[in-house]
Amino acid sequence: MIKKEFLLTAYFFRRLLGLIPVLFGISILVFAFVRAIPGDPARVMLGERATEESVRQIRQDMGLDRPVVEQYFKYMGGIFKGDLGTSIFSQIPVSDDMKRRFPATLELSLAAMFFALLVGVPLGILAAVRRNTSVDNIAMVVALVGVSMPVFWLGMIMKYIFSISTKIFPPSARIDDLLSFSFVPITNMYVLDGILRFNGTVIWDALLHLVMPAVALGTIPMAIIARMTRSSMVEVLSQDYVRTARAKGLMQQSVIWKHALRNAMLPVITVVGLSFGGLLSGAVLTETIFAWSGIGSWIYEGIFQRDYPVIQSGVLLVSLVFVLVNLMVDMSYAFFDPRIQYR
Amino acid sequence: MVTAAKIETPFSIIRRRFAKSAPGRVGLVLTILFVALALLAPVLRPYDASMDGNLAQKFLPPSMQHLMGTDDLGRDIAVRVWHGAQISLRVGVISVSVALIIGSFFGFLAGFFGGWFDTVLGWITDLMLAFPGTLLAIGIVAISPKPSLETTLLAISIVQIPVYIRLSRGSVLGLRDLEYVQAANALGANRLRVLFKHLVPNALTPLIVQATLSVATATLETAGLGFLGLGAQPPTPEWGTMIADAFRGAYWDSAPWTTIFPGLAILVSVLGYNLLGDGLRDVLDPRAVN
Repeated sequence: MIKKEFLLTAYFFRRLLGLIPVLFGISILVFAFVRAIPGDPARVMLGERATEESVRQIRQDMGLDRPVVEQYFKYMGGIFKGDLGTSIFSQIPVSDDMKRRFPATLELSLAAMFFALLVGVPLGILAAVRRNTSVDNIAMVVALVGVSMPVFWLGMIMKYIFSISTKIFPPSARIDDLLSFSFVPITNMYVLDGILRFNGTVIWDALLHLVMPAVALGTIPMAIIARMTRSSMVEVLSQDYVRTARAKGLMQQSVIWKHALRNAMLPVITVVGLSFGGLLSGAVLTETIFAWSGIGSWIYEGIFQRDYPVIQSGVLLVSLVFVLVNLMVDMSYAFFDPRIQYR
Repeated sequence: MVTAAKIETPFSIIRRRFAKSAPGRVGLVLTILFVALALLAPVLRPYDASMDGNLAQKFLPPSMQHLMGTDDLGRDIAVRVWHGAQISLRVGVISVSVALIIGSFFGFLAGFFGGWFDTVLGWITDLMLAFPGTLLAIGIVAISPKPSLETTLLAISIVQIPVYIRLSRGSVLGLRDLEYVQAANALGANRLRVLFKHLVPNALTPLIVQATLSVATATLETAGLGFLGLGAQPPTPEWGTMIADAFRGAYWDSAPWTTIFPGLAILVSVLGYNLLGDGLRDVLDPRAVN
């Protein structure tokens, strides 16, 4: 047992070290990418009618006239000191924006994943247990429609039904305008902040704002999880040890929840991890529809405004999260499946 | 006792299994329907997206005359959705074909020959897969001088390439050491001949299934980029762009049919591709034999 834990830790650190070249590769790629976007940030900032002289002045102030390699090393040097540069457009330090926006996307993604698991796993189990019945068919049609869903359209339809026609949920933003003036956030994840400040009004209001974006964003992962849970569960339920458990006279509930589910969850974990990438992508669309000021809309606006520091930092952050989540998925294999050996 | 065994060709096996697969059948029907609609659109109803429209008839709700209503310029939405099928199909099929050909070519070589080529290709795919797909596509579209349908096509294609590299590489790796391949080698067959004549045909199955599912993804991504204003530009009747028009023009809530129908078209066509892909997997995956 000790040996296994040691191997696992060693494996973890080796993988962590292996991430360093990948992240450097990403940073170089992103840096080159951003500079390949046509359009001059100084020009975008000053507008079409600015004189050539003032544009040149701004370029000089921002260091954009320096060689690209020099700009890269300056930027990377800054990162290690915690300085991500200043937004060309808003003149706010990028790290300030990030502290505000990253928790917003994190909150949205976690809520979406929570919804996906809450609906997807039971749906998959139900379909597997009632295999080849109408229950199974309906569950799988739901899942298939979910996989095929254009997220932005779903968001708009939900908004139409629940905000415009019936006014059950607020149509956009993260919190009510009035509350946003009086409430001082701590982590910038508003639901969590409400809990930390024992402020019931904030918790309730933030939750109401969270429901629709989270469901829209979580629909595709929900459907993928349901499908994966079903196929994995069907496979496990046909195995000998499950038959043994049944032959022992265990109750159906206990066989499913205690014996089968644990082994059926392994592929589901992979899917959860992989879906995080999809969530981060989907966030661009969802955040646009619901005016959710997170990382997705930040990068998107950054591209339009040629805001180099914003795009660079935003994409780097998303990739970092993505790569780390994948690592966590790999590690969780070892945790859930003792047969896997790491050397 | 000897009974005459019914001789089954691979084709008849596939047909029999496909007939048993309910999702496959529904998917096939939906897909054929969409392809037929797309191909017939320019023949049955030639249409110029920029000229069509009658401002006196804008924002009409669905009726017998305009089955899906009209939009802000008085254009018939049903006709635009219909012609959108052609655009969506074209982008989906071309982008996936390009990704399939380029990706699997490199993947086959890497899986078969290994060595430094495999290692370098592994780095590149790792790096590309380290970005979430849509974000990568947005990035690629952003560096093109002007967003258009062609850049969308290119971006979606590039994003899918690493998937096919991985898949074809793994597929060849699994076959490389089988006896029949060793036999071909032992007979002195040329290495490239072994790869393309003996390995590739057997490695194609997962690629075909993936390609069908990729058309679904590509359709969703085309619409997504169109919605963000990074894909096809108005007045092109691309589904995502149509929804974006309604959203940015702020008439989607007062005239919801401008949004509902293009979205339904996306949903139903993607559903068709996904069903077909599922059906093909049932049929072509030898492990799925019941």
